[in-house]
Amino acid sequence: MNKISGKQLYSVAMIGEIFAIFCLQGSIGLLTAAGYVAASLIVCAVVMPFAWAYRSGKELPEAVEFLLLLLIIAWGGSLFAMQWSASEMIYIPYENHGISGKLLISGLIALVCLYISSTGIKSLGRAAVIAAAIGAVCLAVVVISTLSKHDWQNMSHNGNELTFAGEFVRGLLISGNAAAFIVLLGMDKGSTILSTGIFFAVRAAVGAVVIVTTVLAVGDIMPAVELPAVMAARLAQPFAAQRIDSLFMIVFAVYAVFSIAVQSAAAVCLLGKLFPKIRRFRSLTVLTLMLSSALIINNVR
Amino acid sequence: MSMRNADKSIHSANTINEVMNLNGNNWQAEKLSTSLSGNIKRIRAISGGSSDILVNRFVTGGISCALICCDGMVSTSVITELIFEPITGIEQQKNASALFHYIQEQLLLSTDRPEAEDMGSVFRLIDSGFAILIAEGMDTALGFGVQGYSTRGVQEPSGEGNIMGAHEGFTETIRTCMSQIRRRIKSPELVMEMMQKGSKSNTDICLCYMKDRVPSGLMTDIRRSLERIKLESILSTGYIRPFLEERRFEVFSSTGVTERPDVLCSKLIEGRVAILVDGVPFAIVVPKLFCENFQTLDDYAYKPYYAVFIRWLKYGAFIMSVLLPALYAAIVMYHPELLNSTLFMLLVDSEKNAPLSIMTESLFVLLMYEVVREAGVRLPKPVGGAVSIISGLIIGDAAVKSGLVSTPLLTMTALAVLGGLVVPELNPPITVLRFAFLIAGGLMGLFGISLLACAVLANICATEDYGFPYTAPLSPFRRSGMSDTLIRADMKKMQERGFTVEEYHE
Repeated sequence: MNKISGKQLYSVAMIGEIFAIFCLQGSIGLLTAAGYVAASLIVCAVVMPFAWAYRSGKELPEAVEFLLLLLIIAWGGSLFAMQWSASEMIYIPYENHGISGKLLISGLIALVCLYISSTGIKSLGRAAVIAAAIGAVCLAVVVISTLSKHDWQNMSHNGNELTFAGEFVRGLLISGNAAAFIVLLGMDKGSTILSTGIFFAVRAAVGAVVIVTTVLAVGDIMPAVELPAVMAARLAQPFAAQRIDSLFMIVFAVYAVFSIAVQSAAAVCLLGKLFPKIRRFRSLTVLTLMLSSALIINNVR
Repeated sequence: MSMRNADKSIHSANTINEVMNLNGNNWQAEKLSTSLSGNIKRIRAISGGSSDILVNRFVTGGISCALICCDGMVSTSVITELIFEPITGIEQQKNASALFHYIQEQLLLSTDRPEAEDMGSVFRLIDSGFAILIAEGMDTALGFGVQGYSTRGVQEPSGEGNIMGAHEGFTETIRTCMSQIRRRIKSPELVMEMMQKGSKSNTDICLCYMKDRVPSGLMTDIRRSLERIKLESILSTGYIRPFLEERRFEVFSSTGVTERPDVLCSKLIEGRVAILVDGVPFAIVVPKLFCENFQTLDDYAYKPYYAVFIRWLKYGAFIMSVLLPALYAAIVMYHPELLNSTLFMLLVDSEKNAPLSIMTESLFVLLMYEVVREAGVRLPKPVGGAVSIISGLIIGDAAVKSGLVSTPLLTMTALAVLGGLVVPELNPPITVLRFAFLIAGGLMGLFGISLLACAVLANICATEDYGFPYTAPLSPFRRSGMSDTLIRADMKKMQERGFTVEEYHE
């Protein structure tokens, strides 16, 4: 039986959450952090009944599983679309070759995701712990260099046009990872209720720290910035003679791959339950559906 | 009686096949008959009249006998002094059974005296260096352990050097290897199980484990894996390892090998299982963890602070050896903004005259190195030295002077290659990964390197044999395992821990 530990569950899920914040578009402020924390509480409340159900050994109804599958595919597509938008600001060779360049990049990511999800949820969990640890170190470098260099008055310089309600909705909109979390929760070795509580507490705290750091680093130029988190990484240079932007780029690429692989692994698991006759090419089917939904989302935008 | 008088007559294979049915392996279960001549004839027929099978006929105690052995596998002096001299002096006996009883009970000819009842056992003993005594009227054979084949002596291991530990390595003789282990672990808990594998080679294989430390279930799983071996011959550890590794495609091998008895003993005490193969001076260790590639016996001989320094140096060397050429190509080709102005100008200056792209240049240098290395390994040692001189001085110097290769790139490649030599057991995967990362970095920059790193990471994390994850204790994380992974704790603390590999079982 494929079971993962609590630490692996948090890592797998947190990577997706952090990647969504990296791809956050438009101005952000302290209200964004507040909205994100509030949204985390609401999503936690939504996930808790599932945690109770798993704890009491109940299976999810097929209709719910089908709905979760649709949500995961849609969120996977959104992650592809977010990655397309963000990669315009991060230098990736061939990305600026129009739609063919974007499809090439997405195709490569999909290929790696296909391989990762084919190795199974256990290995994905183990790999996610290492990826999350590397990402945490890189983020810590960005946070520390930002805190040591930037003016605290930046906090008040932006975000005048933001409202709590608007930021709360934005927080909810970037919580699509919750569907995959619900599926993975069923594979948790430990207490599902405790895992849910800890995960959403960590999600709220880490998300708030990343958003506040971004606000602090970007400061006055926030209205002119498309992707604040990416810009914050560019501005946070801890060394005088050496740039470290690309450290962020590596984290971005790794998190993009893992966040999509997690969606893919969760969707494959549901697909196997709902349609047991589909035995082969499950991962390929799921990733094709995600890429198709990404194209739709991109066109709708 | 001397060996020179031995009957070495060779029969033509055709004649033998006409007389005897030699199709298939049916002869193995064939029982010995009571006729001495019939048995000798059958042995000659089965061996195809092979010239190294010696049949010495003589009469002792009034009964016709024959001593059969394999030339070169027995010690001539031992067989003369300890077998022929006592046996030929036996007084008249009632019958062959009484003769065999007398030899078994009254004479102490050798310590190892197995009996054989069928042709399969007879040939197994002959091929293992035993002398076989058969007599008229007896349907069993007596074996005497008089092995005397020439073997390589115990020497210093060639690939696993160390400074502070023992300087002896395994040899090709399985019994010597077993004694080397037994000398270090003088405990009845150490079990050595012999078995034979290879339908033609009948290679001796020894399964070693500490019965009080080995995880429950691991032995059953390993035995089941070994049962799947249906090969005709086992000539190296590489014939067995694929049967012990559960996944089809593993970049890093989840079974280890060592040529050091002291290292093997430490693994056995940690609850691992070792497999010795006759004719191979390496032992297979199951299960193997990724972090073990960076541990050496010297780590435990030095002070912990120095051992930690060396260990981190090895981690760094491993990463450098895999990624350095790829990072150089990616940064110079796609991300020059990462370089500070001085370094940037230096690289521009040296690369502007190079006729090839950086990726092609790197691939060329790395391929050149691999060709030189392979030539150095395969050629006789004196010529190997000449190859190194030609490659290092002539080709390297000429390539730089002609501008075909830039000096910084050559430096990066040399550093990467040197880094790989720090962890010799990982050299094959490092070599292939270095090329793969270079191509990824050269085509897609840091993005390509990141993508490939994700795939490699997933592959490493998926590597698992018998429920032991290859990446343990890092992931799944075991805090107790960090005392000998990220650091090397004090020996007193490690003693308190009493580690066995079962801690990492999932």
